[in-house]
Amino acid sequence: MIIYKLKNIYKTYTISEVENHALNDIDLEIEEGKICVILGPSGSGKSTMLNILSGIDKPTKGIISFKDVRIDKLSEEKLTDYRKDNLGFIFQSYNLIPNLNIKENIELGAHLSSNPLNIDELIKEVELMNHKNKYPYQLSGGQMQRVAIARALAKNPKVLFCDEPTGALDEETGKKVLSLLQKINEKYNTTIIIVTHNPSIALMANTVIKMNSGKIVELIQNKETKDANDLRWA
Amino acid sequence: MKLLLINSLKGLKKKKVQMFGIIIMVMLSTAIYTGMNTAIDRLEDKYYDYLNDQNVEDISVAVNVNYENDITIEHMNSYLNNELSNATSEEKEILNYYINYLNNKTMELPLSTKVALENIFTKYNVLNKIKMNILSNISTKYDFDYELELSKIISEDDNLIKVILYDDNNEINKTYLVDGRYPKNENEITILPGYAKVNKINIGDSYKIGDNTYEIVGFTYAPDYIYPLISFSMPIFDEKTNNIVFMNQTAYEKVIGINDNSFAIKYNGEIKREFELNSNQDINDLKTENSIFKIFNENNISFDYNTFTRIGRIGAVQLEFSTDRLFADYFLYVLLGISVVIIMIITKKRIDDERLQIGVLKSLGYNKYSIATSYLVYPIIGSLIGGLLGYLIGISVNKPIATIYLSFYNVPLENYIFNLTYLKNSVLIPMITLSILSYLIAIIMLRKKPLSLLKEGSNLKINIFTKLINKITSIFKFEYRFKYSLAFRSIGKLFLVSITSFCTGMLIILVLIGSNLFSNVIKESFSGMKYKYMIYTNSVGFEQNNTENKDYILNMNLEVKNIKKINGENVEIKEDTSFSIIGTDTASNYLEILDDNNKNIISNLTTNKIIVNQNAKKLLNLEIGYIIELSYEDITLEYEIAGFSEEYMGYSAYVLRSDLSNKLGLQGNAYNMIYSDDDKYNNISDLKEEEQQQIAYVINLEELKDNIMKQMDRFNGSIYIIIIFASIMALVIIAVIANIVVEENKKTISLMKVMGYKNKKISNIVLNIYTPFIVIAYLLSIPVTIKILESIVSALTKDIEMTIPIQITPSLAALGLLGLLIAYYIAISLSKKVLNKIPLAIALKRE
Repeated sequence: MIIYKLKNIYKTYTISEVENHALNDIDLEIEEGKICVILGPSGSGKSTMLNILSGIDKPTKGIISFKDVRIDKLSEEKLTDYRKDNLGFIFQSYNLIPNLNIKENIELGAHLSSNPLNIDELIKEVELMNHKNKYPYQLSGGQMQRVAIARALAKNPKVLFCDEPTGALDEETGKKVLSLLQKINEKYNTTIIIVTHNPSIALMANTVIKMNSGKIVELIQNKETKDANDLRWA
Repeated sequence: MKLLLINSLKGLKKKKVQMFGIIIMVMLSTAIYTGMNTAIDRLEDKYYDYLNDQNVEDISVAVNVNYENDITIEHMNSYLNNELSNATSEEKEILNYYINYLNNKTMELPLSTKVALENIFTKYNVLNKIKMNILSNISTKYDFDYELELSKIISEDDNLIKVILYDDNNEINKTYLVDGRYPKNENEITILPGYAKVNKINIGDSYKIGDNTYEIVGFTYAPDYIYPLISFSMPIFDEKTNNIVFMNQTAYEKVIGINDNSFAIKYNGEIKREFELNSNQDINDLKTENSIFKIFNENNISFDYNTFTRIGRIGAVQLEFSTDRLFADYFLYVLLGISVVIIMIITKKRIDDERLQIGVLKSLGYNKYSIATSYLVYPIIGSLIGGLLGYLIGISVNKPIATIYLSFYNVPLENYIFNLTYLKNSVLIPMITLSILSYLIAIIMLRKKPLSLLKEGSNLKINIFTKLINKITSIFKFEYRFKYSLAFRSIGKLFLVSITSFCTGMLIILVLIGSNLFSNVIKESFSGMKYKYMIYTNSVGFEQNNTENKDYILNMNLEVKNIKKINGENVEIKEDTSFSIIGTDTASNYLEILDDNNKNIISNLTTNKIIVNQNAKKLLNLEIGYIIELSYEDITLEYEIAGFSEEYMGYSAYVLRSDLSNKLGLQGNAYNMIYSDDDKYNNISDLKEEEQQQIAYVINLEELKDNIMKQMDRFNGSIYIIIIFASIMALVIIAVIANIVVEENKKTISLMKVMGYKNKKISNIVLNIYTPFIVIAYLLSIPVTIKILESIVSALTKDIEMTIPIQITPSLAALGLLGLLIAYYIAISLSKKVLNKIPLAIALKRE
């Protein structure tokens, strides 16, 4: 089933009277329950694409639907509801709350849902059972990212957006995180959309969207996907 | 360094609220400092010149005659041939007895005879001459000048008027002309300029006193009435109804009023002006050898309560100046202190935010001193702008402030004179204080090594206190845990908010208690008084047939010799302790002596029994059954305490009038005071001449209560201003804190928005974190303020022998809390707009 439909999407920013076309006539469909990687160098428009898909930003022109609901037409309040009810986020800089321990950080996500996943099970899932009362400053980068994943999952989202999830991690830790994302995709059928500049990650995705200068330059459907642990960083 | 400073300056644009908060605090403090000091300068500089130019008295006295020593046979013979030649045969018998006594001083001269002599001398206008002789005998020796000041008090409609005989030959207390000219003719008068302004009267208008109409020819001040206390009926000066009128001799003699004469003394030698308001001043404590008090004491000229009241009229304003200047200085430093704490928090936050930049700068070789210098931008700009603005505001409000003083004090006003000190202090004191402290704070905070600053997550560490609080709050729901973890993340901000709430709470409680303080004392003091008029007579009289509804009272000021407990031990008392003894009849028309259960205990008064007031009970630790020994001249009076009356002013006590009279050697029906409801005492001209002559002054209790309650309304008005001011201050401080909290938590706020939290929910979690601390701080301030106020009031009133019960009702306390919370919610709502504008994209930014 198609979860996202994008048609004739444009996004233009005006900075000091100079127009910057971040997205140029994007047409795209994303299937539910798949892992999708948006790949491109810096300035290609991949972060803008993530913002548009997640409702953080609105397109200048075009139509974008989430499960046949036009999200480009939604008010700010409705967009907040859309994110609350359907989406989870993972960031490169983790964005954990420093004065909440691991369990409480995950609770921040769970608190939004009327039917959240069990927090202790999530902590087990991300293999941090021995650290659940620790604070972010006591964790490594990989551990913090796993907490962020658990937090994002806590409200059982349909889509998980990952913005450079391994950007601040070394190869081994990064692969562990990606492996976890694969596990989640398989277990919960969560659609995972990863934005990255690392081409190696594309091999684990069902769909690869290559972007440059605000356009989709290539759309690849992988017939076979690699396990995250078998990836080799470029 | 230049680049660092430029960077800081550019950063100012983004920190408008915080900068604004510092400017406001500095501006408020310097405005009040400058305004009050310049206003006081205009009055104080003129005040001392005024005292000199108008030759204001050092003291004025009502001379007491010592009949044993002060009158000679020659004087008596002269009086008998002149003023006393028309004395009745009964009066001549008494006079002859006295002459015999003067010839043979081994004879007895009982009190009753003295009283009779005084009545005769008053009747035939000899008393003032005797008093002038007494002063004349010592004036050369001690080198002072004296003048008899004649004045009358008239109560008419709502007005209380002091009429003073204008004599341009007067050398002491020379009248000060403000506008127009002095009265020459019988139908001309001058009045107070403040009274004229408030009642819209101009020079040339008519003014009626009694049945006579006069033309107003000028506006004048009586220089010995700087605080114009005219009558104890209206102890608090009311510009609208209290007036001082000057008229010539002819007009003065025709005016009917209560005589209020005194002798003004001006000492020519080197003597310190003693503006001492304490009637229980221990003369032995006076440091100056040639003190007027000492001289008069040696010459048997005693000081009554009115003497000290008259001193207060001249000197009270000095106390006002010094306390108000102290207040202005104190205010400056308190608000600067708060500004320092705000700057501390801002500096710390900036350093936290810029830790990566700082790490880079340190790695490049910049030392902490040069980096710290860039943080001086806030205090320098804040104090420069705030100080200048505050100074200008202060200058512009100095006239209205001075006008407020003029509504209480009659002193000419000097023109505004520029004083560089206030400008310097308004800018330099804040600048130096804030800069030095910010610099030191920055140095301390910049102590970390470059590597630890550059390390990822170096800003994530939390303190032990936060961990402890998180453990304690683990039982609460998630939202509350999150809130309190944010609150305790920054102890500095939490401390500042709590201290602000505590101090604002103290200020609010102080004024709320203050508003009740005097009204409670007045309520308690007046509760037993059912009469309208308290009439003081010139001398002791003897009750004839009491056909009118009057209470005859014998009021004496008696020294305490000793107080013994039931077991015989002595109670510790200060030397020169005295009581105002009120001799009353048990069958009183108007007096109820109420105890603390509100029960009338007047029937406890029997022979040798005394009822003492609560004030004396508390301060002297008295109990029922104690024996008080009082003395008057060489007479000792002994009483047993039979109860305590619910009154708080001075040391006073009630005894049976007949018992007191007999103990003093007077007839049982002696009196020197009357309580009455008869409205004839409202207008002296309605009385018979004989009765007029007998009256020293009348206190109208209704007027007294009205006067005090009217002033209470003014006082209450200023209370609400103070509460509003305190709330505004709290608002500014909390708004700055809230703004900092939003800034500090930008990433968290953005994250929560991205995750799907609504703005309202985010505000509730992030901004509304201080409510319980504010409530707790305010509640804590209540007992602390009460305790402090009790100590202050006790220290202040100890010397004037007064206790004032300190209390606050729950409803008033709740009102204060409401004011504070309103300020808090307004402050955080200002930051809500900033919070709502935080973009979601911040969460996506990479560090």
